[in-house]
Amino acid sequence: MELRATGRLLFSFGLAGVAFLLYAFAAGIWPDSEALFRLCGCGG
Amino acid sequence: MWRLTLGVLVAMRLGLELVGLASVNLTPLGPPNGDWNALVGASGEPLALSIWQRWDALWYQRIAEDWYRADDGTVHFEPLYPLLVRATSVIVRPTVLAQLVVTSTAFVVAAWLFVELSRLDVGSEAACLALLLVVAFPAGFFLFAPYTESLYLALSLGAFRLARADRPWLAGACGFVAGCTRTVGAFLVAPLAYSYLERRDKPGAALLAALGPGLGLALSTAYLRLSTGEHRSMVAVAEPWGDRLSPPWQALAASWEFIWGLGGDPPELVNFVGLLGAIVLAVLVTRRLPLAYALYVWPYLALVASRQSAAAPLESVARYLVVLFPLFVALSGLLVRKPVLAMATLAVSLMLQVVLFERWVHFGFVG
Repeated sequence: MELRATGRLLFSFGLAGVAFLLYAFAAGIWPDSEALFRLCGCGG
Repeated sequence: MWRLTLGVLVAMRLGLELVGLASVNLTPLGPPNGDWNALVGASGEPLALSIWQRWDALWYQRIAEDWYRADDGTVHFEPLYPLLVRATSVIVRPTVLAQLVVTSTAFVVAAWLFVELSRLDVGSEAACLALLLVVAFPAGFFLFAPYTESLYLALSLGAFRLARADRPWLAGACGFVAGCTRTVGAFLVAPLAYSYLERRDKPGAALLAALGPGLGLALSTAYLRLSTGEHRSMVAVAEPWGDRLSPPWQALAASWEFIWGLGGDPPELVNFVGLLGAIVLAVLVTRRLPLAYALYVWPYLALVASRQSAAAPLESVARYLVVLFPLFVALSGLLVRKPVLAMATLAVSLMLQVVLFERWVHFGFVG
């Protein structure tokens, strides 16, 4: 894949990452991440 | 095209209604199963309506009637669909009828956009076949049930269509409301951003608009938590549903063991085969359709395949796949020149849908 297309892909997923961080904050998942650890099967 | 979409709506509404009523008459209903069962028939709904009061439909009915509250799990459900039902129920009663009106209206829009968008890539004939494939899909009846599937499908298709027409702010607005409808709406951010990066030399503000779906999800979630005083995180709120994350191969292996152990469980079998088929079709989507679709399909599938449920490992997967429209477009591209195979696929799929719908009407969990 050409370099420009790879850059576009990385940027698009980076923007999606920003959206998920916003959601994580709004949903209370961050900074309180205990429930997330439980969801992943680690921790109490 | 409107004739096709309205025709499909009328045929499916009548067909599902007949199947539901016949199955209830042939096999009487057992005790209700799930949450908010006291709502079934509570407002004197006739059987033709009360057969739709099942599972999540009851959650949405409860929210539309009494809105959200902290500590009762309602904030697990996104607000746009119950909001539209609440508004519709001012003139249409009972609530379940308002739910069906909203669902049916959304379906007509979704079906029109589905054909309109997919014919750009595969032509009119394959686009119409793709619509029939999604409607006949074993979990396709959820597009007509009081669930969010039709509304989310219409909004996500609208976002893709507007992005394709290079209308980033309208696409972002459509994505914003999609984010207020389903959590997975946030998966629209990457494909919208990619389509502007691909098309424009200076995407600038268009990229800001691509954040719309993520903002919709974040703001609607913040609103639900703040307005109700729900102090728990959304992951903690979802814990009673018993889902956990695990690698996709573990979820698939657990599903296979579950099916084998029960000697074949129809919904889980459909979920298992559906997920495997979806992965194969996602490869086709990547190779044959615009890359923006692949950017939507793969992260969505990764989440669906990484979620294991307590009751049945791949519970609800088939329902989640119904809105993943590029898969059906890719499948129709394969089948459009093979009419016998296309007819056979539609017939088998519809038969499986009847089996699952009959089970759902009898309070069996399908999705």
